[in-house]
Amino acid sequence: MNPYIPRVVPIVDIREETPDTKTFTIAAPMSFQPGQFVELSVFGYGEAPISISGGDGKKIDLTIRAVGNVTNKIHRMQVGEYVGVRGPFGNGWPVEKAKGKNLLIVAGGIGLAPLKPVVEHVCSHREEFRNVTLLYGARKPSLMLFKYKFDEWAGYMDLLLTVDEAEPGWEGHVGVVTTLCDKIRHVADTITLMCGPPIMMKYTSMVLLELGFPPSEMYLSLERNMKCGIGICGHCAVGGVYVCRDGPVFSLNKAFRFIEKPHEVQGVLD
Amino acid sequence: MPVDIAFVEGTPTTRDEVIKLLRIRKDCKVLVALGACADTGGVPGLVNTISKRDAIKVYQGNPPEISLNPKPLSYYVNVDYILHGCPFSRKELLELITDIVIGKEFREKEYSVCVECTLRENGCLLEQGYLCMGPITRGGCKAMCPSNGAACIGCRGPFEDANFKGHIRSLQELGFTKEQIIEAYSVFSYEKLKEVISWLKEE
Amino acid sequence: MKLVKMVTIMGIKIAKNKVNEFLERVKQEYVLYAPVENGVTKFEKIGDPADICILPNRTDISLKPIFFPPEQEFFRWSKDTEGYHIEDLLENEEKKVIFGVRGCDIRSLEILDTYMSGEFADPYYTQRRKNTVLIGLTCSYPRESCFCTAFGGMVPNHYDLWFTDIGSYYYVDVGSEKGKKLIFGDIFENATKEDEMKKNRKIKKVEDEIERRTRIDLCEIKRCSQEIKKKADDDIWRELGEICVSCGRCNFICPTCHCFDVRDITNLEGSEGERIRVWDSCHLYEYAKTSAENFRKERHARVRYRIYDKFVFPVMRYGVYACTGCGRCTDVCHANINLRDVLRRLIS
Repeated sequence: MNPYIPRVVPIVDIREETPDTKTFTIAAPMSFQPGQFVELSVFGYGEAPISISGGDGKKIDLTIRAVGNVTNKIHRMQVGEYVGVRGPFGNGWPVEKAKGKNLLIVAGGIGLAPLKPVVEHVCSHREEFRNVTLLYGARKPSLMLFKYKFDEWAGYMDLLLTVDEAEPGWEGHVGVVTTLCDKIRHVADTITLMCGPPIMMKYTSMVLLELGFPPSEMYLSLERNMKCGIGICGHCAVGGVYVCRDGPVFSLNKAFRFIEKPHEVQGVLD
Repeated sequence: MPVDIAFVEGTPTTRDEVIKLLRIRKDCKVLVALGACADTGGVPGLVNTISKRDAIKVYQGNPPEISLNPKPLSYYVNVDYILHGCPFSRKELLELITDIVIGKEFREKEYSVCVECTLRENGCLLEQGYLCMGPITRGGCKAMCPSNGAACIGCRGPFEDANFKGHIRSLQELGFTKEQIIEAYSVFSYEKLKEVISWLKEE
Repeated sequence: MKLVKMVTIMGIKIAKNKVNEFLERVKQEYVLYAPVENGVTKFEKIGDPADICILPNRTDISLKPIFFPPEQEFFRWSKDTEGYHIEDLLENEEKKVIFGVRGCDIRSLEILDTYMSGEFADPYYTQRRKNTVLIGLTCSYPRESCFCTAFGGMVPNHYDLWFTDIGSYYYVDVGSEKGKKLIFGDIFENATKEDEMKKNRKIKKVEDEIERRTRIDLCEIKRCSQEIKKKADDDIWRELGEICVSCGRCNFICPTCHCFDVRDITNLEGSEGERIRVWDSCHLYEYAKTSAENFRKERHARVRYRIYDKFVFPVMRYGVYACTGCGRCTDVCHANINLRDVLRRLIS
């Protein structure tokens, strides 16, 4: 099978999440691990790596913010139009490892999308985990993803929400994600899964380390410019690993050195 | 009359032309600077390298009205897209129109002519002792000149990431004088490379 | 068959004036590639064996473009009622013989094979790589930039046939079954003990010459990965960053560099088009750019990344150096960055 050839599949549902983010449900039958991604093709526009935010084996959800060529175009597309998809690629979150342990999920902005399958897994297999906390921060309340799910999720886990900037009607916490870290009720025996903008992951992991979370039990999902998704094109290579094949999820131990000095030591990770 | 895409070739050298340009900008949705003169000030911009009095001598007593120092179009108006080069590339023009029509981001080439020259498996003219501007000039022309045995003269202007000092150093190692380098740098991109040129003069 | 059995013991040789006849015969069954001179020296498909240029050392351009061309079409797509029709542009297999390859060329293919195979193999590369017979040739003298002895010597471990110039004959080593099939009894002759000694002397002479010039000995290279790893904050990177012009020539000319960019080409209606891949270079500004940030904005970080990606990361990942010591990157560098000097500085 040629790994560069995408499967052509239709868009079956589009849901507006925030002004610049939509969730596209595409009829791509595939089984995937939470945290894996696909290469989404819009023919004529190119390909972009998009993490899977949900699915049932017959369809997958892709939550996409309009930032580039491919993503802007798919935002202009309608239900019934066709896209291409390759994958799933990547290693995914170590959900198995968290069984019988406490689980902390930290997300910033669009970073909740790759973590949503984990959250949903927790909801349907709640008995597998001990304490579970979801810490989610966004720039504004109107930019929060999956708000319609929050009530349901709150029934299964501690839900800590924060925004950088309040808007009328927001009664919750205001401040960056790190300001909520001391509200987490469990430190010992906790697996942490984190995804968000590089700057947020850097500071949050530093605060969590100070609180006593071990770096080997903290996992981050990294974003890189993956072109092929299969570890050949070289664009996502960092410090001798391919983010597309060996990642996108890495333990903080591994990822530490390039979060420390993003521009300086970027290519030098060991 | 309003239009979707306006292509502007050349750059204003008189006040009337500036007014015309401003009017075009108002009347169009997308303004494209077409060719080297519109992009960098180009060859008309060469006049800025010498004094007005010397420049006017070219016309032998019959000087036309040149009231302005030629500048890139972007000096006067917002430019949406630039098609670099003298001449600009036909392929790039088609690419741009296609991208505007289908709503795709036009890809500005952030690499040098050397990239495309090497992809065509050409021998290096710089190595053969020509003063080639390839290493600092924006790619996209598919290295048309070097592929036909003529050194790049930099008609597409410098790209963002160009390492001028590195280029100058290797030219000097090849035995080119400061004057020769300044001349080569001035032909198409005097307006854009003023700083580099004055640095080189002082060095 | 009888001859083949004999050659494994005795060794064989071919008269120089019979090489064209040999290649003509090869051409009847295979597509023949060999070095030609056309402004630069490179491997090309051969129509008439008389066009072949027997060079004293490696070609300017490596074997890479034969297996991994600068521009490769993945597939063509067109809109239809069921969405899109996709036509895979994977080429048919081609039985090819490549004549006149060097040790560095063969080692570069071994390295590329490592990258391109595995869990997800690259079908466009592997398809072109299938059914390839490699006929090597010992260099007469090294180029100024050569240092293959640091990475395994002039004669590689694997080849199909290996020719060594011993005067009016080429001594021929047979390295595989595929190579054995090309030993035509009426063209090749049995070699003598003396021929074999001549061959060994010749190889030794050229290798000694390379050693003498490079002065990077093997034991140092073995620890070069460890040494370079420690030098992430060395001053050398800033120095190189100042003179490098980011033209990417070292990447493109490198026989083991394999990065590519994927692009879509479409017509004005957006109803049909192609997806292609084009060589890319880690020296270029946009290489590590994502929607969030550019991870290797600074030039010195890009220069360092390339050296690490040749001498550190592949050792960690695959246990091989992604360098063959061909010295092509040194030859093409506008800034005269000499890889050998860089390595020597990093190791010392």
